[in-house]
Amino acid sequence: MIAFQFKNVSKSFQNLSVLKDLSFRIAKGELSYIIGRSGEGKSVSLRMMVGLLRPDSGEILFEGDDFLQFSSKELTKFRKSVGVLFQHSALFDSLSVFDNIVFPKKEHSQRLWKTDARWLRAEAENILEIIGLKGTMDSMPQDLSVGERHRVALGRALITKPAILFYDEPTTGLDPIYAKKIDELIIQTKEKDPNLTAVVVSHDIHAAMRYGDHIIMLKNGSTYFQGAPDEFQNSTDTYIKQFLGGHWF
Amino acid sequence: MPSTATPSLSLVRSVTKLANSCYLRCHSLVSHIGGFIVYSSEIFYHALHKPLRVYETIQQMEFVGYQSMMIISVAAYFTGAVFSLQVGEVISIFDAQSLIGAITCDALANALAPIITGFLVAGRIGSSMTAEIVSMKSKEQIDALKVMGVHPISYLVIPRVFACLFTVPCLTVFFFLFGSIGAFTVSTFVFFVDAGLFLEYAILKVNWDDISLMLGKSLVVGWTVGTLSCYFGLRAKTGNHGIGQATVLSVATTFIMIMILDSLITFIETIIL
Ligand SMILES: Nc1ncnc2c1ncn2[C@@H]1O[C@H](COP(=O)(O)OP(=O)(O)OP(=O)(O)O)[C@@H](O)[C@H]1O
Ligand SMILES: [Mg+2]
Repeated sequence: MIAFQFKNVSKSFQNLSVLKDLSFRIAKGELSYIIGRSGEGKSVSLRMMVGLLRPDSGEILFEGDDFLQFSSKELTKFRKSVGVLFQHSALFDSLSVFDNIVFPKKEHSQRLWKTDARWLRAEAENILEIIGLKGTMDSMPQDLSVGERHRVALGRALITKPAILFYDEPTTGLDPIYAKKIDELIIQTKEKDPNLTAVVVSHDIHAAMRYGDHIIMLKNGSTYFQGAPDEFQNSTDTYIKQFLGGHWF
Repeated sequence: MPSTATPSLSLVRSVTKLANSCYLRCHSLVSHIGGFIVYSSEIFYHALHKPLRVYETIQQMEFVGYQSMMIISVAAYFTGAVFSLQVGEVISIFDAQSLIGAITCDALANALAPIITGFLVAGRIGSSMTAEIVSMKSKEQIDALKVMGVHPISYLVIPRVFACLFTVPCLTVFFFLFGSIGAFTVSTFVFFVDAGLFLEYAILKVNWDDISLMLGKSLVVGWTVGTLSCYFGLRAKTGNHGIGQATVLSVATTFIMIMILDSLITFIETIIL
């Protein structure tokens, strides 16, 4: 079953045309990678999938329904079922690691007195164990390294047990060890819940080849390649070969 | 021919430039007014719907109230003192120094306390609220709120607006009291007015109508500071340049709006009621 489908989506900012007739699909329960050079519109596409941006033209379908026609109630309901890891973590500076992690859980809960932390403590501890940051519960985000902040943001995305997870460049700017840890977390999360749909926006073609079920490659704002990692690997296209060889900068 | 064509051409250019800049300013003003109306209706909507932001509002009240207490008391004391010095100098010509308390306290309650408290809170707290929201916007934190299904108005604006709404009246009363103490000091130690007389005339002149006018004005001031500071934060362009621009715009607009609304309330109160 298809989770997301983009049909001829275009988007411009002032005079800059970013997406041009972009079409692709993301299947339910798959780990899809969206790759491409910097500035190709990967983050823009991801922001469209969570309703932060609207295309100028084209269609976006979510499970067959017109996503662009969602009412604000439907959009909120959809958003409560997804988790997003932003490119720059987007942790709240004024909240501790604990408060950041339990934030969505608290917000989605119907309890009136949300400050009672006891009922959330166990869940936060569990998440911190998963992301390997035990003992940082009371630290502030600015006291953590970039990689640790990324993991906390991942913890915040995981705590609500989302049906769809979006990662915007989860490993960019990290050293290889941290990058590997994040990649492992992405895989672990996916393995734990086979129904989880995950969309990773990345520059890391090797991670995409190793872990991805589906690869979407953008070039000049439209889909250049879409298919399985094997097809990608065996492609004879020069641009893809350059990309694979790392000569695409 | 070129000698006559050049000046007229440059004149046309300047006029076009002026017209263009006027158009852009009007456009921006209209878009801000429209935006603010939508934004205000969203505030009302979220204020009347769950979740109640009790904890966040108390946190913000602590920020608004506690952080402004010191500056308000110092400013109030000296405002009261300087005002009564000036008044005392004039009315001592008529040998009416005993009225210093009445005149100063009346001016404090009806005009000075709400306006100056508003200015101080806008400069001290409003500006930092705007800067904080722009910084959150730059770091994708507002987008993060949205994708977690949390409306930024509900989480960021409601607690700040209500904190200002509850705290500014308290700070205004505070300003009034400290201003009166300043006036009392000058009246007693500079003009040697009897303390009992000072109090008697002050209480005689400042009645419940004045106090309720002061509180009414301070509620409007609190609402103005809270809503405008957050509005300019949410509307700002991101980045460091955006923070500076938004803060200046927010404080300047808040000052002007406080003056306009204060004049309007005074006008309604004195002419119509
Ligand atoms: N809100 C916006 N306003 C104006 N321009 C924008 C906006 N968002 C994105 N852009 C522009 O759109 C283009 C694509 O941006 P996007 O962030 O999607 O790139 P990307 O593929 O994610 O790149 P990177 O790998 O560097 O993150 C860029 O040139 C960017 O400047
Ligand atoms: Mg990006």
